[in-house]
Amino acid sequence: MVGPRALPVNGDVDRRRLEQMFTAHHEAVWRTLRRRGLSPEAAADATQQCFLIAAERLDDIRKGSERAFVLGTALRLASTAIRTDRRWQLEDNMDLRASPARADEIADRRRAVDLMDRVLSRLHPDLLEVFVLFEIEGLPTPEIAKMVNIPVGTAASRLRRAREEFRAVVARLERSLRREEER
Amino acid sequence: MNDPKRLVEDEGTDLERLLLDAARRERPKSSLVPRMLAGLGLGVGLTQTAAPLAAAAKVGVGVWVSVGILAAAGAGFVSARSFAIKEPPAPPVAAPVVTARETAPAMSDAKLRDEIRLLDRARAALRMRAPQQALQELRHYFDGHTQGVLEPEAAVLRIEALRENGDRVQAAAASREFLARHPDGPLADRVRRLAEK
Repeated sequence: MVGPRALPVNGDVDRRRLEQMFTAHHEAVWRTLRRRGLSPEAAADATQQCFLIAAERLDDIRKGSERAFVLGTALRLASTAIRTDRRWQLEDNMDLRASPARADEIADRRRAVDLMDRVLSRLHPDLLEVFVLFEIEGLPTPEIAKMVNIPVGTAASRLRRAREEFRAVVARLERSLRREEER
Repeated sequence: MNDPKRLVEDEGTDLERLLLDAARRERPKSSLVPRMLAGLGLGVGLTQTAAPLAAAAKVGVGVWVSVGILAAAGAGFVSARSFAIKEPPAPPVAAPVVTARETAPAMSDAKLRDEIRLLDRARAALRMRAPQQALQELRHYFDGHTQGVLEPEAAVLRIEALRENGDRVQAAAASREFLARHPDGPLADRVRRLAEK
């Protein structure tokens, strides 16, 4: 008879492996979910769900592929979760008067992150996930391509377009900030 | 195919780098990490490794990073500004991140630590196939933490302990109650699977 377990893992070796996976990757998973528009709490719930799935499929995860597995799982969970979680939206004209983020007020990380999420919300989801994994999590494009299940060339192309869009949105934001400065 | 340099390294403008840097530094707040750990049943091992890492993390806290943005952003349009961000150093790009930095402050929270301790004891009793002892630990938990942040995890452990103890009717009732309260929570699927066994 198999006794009850808190996790569907087989013994201490699996438990240690899962702990190592969590230690190494839970922040990246949580950040990736946050950048897909989930609230901090919703991202924590989805992170937990992600590692529960990893626990169930531990035998299928090749050594060295742990990051790809949990981040890939996170992206799939995010696609479901964002349907029920509010996303930031920017006005088309990038008018920042309604937000607390005047240039001289972006003095803390919280506001900068909030602003970043507003910028990212302008990117197409396909471009966004490649951009986040490359620019924020620092993954190379071949690993991103595997994770998202697209050819490497497509990943590179999406990254290029994502960067163009990101830079265009930030440039517009910068112009808005300048206008605020002039007032 | 070579990857381009990342914007945060030196390709981006000051504002681009500021925003990317802020996103790279973001971490789950301290109360969320123990909750995730407990939900996964991983509290024990990581709690034990938290102390030395916490000490290392303290070194980083308090470093002030001034980022001048918009300084070079346009001739005469904007005055140079300095944005001070009080942050620990950013992790190296693409490196596995040691996470106890955020876990550590939560370990100083006595209430949360006590919640984790009691759930760890209940979980250990379950592993030893001592469901009555597990239920006793969980009674201590529910008596002492009427609004505990780890209440969902405790409720799931209670369901497992009741099942192991042979109290199938109570376990089923507890499962229904849990799913009514947390139908979409991260532990709901686990409870559903338990109920199907």
